[in-house]
Amino acid sequence: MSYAEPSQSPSVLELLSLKDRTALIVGGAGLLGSEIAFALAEQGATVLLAGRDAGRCNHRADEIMQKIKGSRARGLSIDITDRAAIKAGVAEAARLTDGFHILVNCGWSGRKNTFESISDEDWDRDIEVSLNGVFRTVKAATPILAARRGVILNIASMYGHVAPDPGLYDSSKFANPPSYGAAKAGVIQLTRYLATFLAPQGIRVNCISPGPFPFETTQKENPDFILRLAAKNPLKRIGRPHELKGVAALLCSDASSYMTGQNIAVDGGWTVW
Amino acid sequence: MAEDRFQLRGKVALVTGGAGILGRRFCRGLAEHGADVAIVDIDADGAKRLAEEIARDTGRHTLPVACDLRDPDAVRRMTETVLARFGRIDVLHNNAAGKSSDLDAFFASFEDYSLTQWREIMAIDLDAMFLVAQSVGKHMVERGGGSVIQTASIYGVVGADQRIYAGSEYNGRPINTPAVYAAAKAGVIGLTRHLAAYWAPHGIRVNALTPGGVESGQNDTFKRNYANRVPLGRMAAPDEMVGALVYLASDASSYMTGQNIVVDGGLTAW
Repeated sequence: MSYAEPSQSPSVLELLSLKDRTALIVGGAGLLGSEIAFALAEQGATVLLAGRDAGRCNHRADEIMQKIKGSRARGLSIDITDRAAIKAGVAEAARLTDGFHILVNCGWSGRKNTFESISDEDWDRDIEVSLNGVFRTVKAATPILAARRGVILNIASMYGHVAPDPGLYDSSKFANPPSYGAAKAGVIQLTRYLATFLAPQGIRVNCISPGPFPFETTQKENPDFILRLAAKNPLKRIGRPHELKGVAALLCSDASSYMTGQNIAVDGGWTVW
Repeated sequence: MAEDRFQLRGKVALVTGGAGILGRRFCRGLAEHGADVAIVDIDADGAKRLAEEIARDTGRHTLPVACDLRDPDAVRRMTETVLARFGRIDVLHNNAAGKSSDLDAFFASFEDYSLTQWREIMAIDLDAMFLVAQSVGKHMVERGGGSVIQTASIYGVVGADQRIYAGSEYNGRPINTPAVYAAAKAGVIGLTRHLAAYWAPHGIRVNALTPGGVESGQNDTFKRNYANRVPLGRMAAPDEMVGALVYLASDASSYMTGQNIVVDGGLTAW
């Protein structure tokens, strides 16, 4: 293969551009999903924000259009615990956009539980949303992405590759449940499988493992917990949701065209020591 | 019988750093499982005393060999000495790591670390692993098999939480963990994977053993800091590494190669 002269290569800004592309972001109205939706819209993509609560998604989409001049965004109802709803929602997303290029999975469930407290029902629900929902959405979206050499970005978690320190959590009221870690580990490995299985169709698949990004409500309810999280981390603080924008921009665009099957930890150093 | 798979009877093991804090337990563990053991150490007297103790307690043959592993000729002579005595080497435990002759230089801050000190530590912690693996490996290739175990470290896997070292002392002296150690031990893990792939056609398995912090001369502050960092809530005892070593040395692990067994009380699990 002969290479182009460096002076002829696309610029970084060109590589990051998502002009004329469309993205379906499942969980796009959530804490981290919203930031990712904004990032892709800023790169020029038309974004569809999907979730159980279409009103919330529409509201977030309106915010995107108000904030980013010339952007196109809208909400869409998809309940990823409902197989038929996934198929219908993905088909609707394809119809609305004339086919989308980018699928981001950030839907999750993790009802607070210890191993002792978790019930079959809670376990099943967390796995259903956080792992099975990702599988089913990817399965429904693959034909659409394959036609456009698309990309898939899954949101995993640091607790998909390390376990929580139970001492950080006060009680079962705040504990990160084992179902969540198992599902997120599943997402990381599913990402690797999909990377090899879908490579022949030109689809790249990567995931992000965010570190601690607790909800604001959690921060208010339990400031000591936040101090403990911060103290555990080399960067000595919890994450700011916008700190996922850069990695999402990279992984959803041609700036990462030779990356697939990777898990990028954005965790303040949580897993380095 | 499952336990027969751990049997080392009739095998010859060579342990470098064999008279050290962990090394002496490793040598004894291998002998207790039936191996004859060559105890290689820079401390000639320590190796000799240990060889006598282990021979007396286990009835196995032992051979102390004094060797400065930084010297390629000395390493070659060491291997010849062991082969002359036992005729074969089935298990190589590449275990030696260096003590510095100048602790001020060894514990210097990264910003002020001298290249001389860096090289002095690399010479034993990584270069000697290469020299010994090369020298004993040649013999194993000729014989068509063997098991090599290399001692790595948690700091070859993760970075050190610097807060552990605040107020910490070892035998009365303030301590830290220098970057050269982390770099060398990560190198050991890389060398392990490389040799596993490279020597697999010759029936030689190569694995790493990663101990967590082992209790020895640390002060209480360090022990407490470290214990707080570990799910099991304590430092390791030297004997707690021996089971993993015997597993890797024996046929119990006959389908394992290129792996790193981490015995760290869970330090890297959260």
